[in-house]
Amino acid sequence: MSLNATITSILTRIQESTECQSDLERLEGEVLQFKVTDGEEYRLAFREGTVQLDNTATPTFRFEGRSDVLASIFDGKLTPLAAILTRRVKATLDPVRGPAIGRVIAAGLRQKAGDGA
Amino acid sequence: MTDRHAGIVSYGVHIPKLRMTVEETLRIWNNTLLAIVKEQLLVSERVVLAPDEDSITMAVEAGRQALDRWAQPYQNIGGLFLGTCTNPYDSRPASTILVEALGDNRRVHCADIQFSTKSGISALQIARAMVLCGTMDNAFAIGSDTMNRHTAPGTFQEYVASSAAAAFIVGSDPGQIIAEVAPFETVVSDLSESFRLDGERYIRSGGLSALESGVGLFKHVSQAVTEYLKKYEYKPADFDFVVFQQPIGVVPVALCLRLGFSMEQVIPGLIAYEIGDVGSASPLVSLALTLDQAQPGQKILLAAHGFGTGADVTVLTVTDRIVEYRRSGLSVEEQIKRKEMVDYATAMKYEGKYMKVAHALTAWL
Repeated sequence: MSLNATITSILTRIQESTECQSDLERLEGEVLQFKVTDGEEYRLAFREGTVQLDNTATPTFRFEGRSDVLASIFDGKLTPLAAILTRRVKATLDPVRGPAIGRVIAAGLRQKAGDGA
Repeated sequence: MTDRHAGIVSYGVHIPKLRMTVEETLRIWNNTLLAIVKEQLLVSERVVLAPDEDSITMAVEAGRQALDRWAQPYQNIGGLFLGTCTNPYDSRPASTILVEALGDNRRVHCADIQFSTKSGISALQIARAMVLCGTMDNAFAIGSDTMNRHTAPGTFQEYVASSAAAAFIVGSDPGQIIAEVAPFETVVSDLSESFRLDGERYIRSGGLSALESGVGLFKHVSQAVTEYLKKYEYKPADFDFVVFQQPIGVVPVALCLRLGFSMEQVIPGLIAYEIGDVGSASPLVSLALTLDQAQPGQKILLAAHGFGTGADVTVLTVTDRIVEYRRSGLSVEEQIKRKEMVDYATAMKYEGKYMKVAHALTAWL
């Protein structure tokens, strides 16, 4: 599955999820730029209690890494935190918004895993 | 005023390849929660010493790499200052062993610097001052520690206590300097947050309480950095990289936020999540990792802390020379990634915590 398709499917599951509502509200107004080094980018806009792809939104923080690193994160093999702490991504995330983003993504990944079960 | 220069002309690092996960320590002691160690303290693995490794052998390896990259005769070294708070000898100096192990050069001003986990940076301060005042043209500043060998089994520090060495050659020749080292700002404070009494093997530590109370590391580093920025009229955004002492991974992240730096400035130098607390070598290994990535003109803020000592801050400005600087041997990144995992029993045996009785009956038992 391409990174674009993976992100789209994770976002769909996040939108259907009820377990990360407080984090979605906490991130209201933020725009996370996921960028593949020397490649495509995706902007996730947190609005009205949900998250959607909006590549015209102005990023408020960013997360950049090689495609294999980002794929590992979206496959659930690598946590965003571990990716930051092992210098595999460039990020402007902080310990307040970072874990909130991590929980939101994890919610999408859990539902994805559950779908396959 | 002097027009002499003092800057880094070469550097080398040694990180032992044996490692142990925090899960393995937790499996034996079950004395905390994995999430606390990995997601709050931000440490996942630590170094395990091989039986033949100590602060001196690691310093030799780091020193040899620095010399090899420098490509100048060892006889051009006029000083060697070894910072360690875990010298394998109580009274015998370690720096003299190091001087001889590195080659044939007896005309070296050398000294052991024991200033807790700030020993390495203190060595750098001394080397810089000696080069700047003209006593010598080139001097080694080395930080090397084996915190794991001096951490008791079953303590919280056991999850993070680790080992490594970093060697920097400070020189005066502007044509060789890859990073100019600015004056240091220092905050000194007596605080018995961690110590080891005469005759004791293990460092007694206030551990997390010392961090959470805010009277030690956070206070001292914050004060030293704030005063430095004010004195030299810098803003946090003026730096491309920020290097902090890293007893645990959360420390540089917390300091970054507290002092107004961004995560992007700190991430390139993060080491504690993967290799734990390497004591005196911590800011120097992090600095070496950062220099591996730095470009000409970039500025690095370096802030070190030692338990019971206080904090030091300086700024390094990377020169054009870094482009052609010969980086032979393994990079810091490669050394972090080069690892062989061991279990808890092996770690204890190798670090001398399982003791074989000294009363052998035969040559075999």
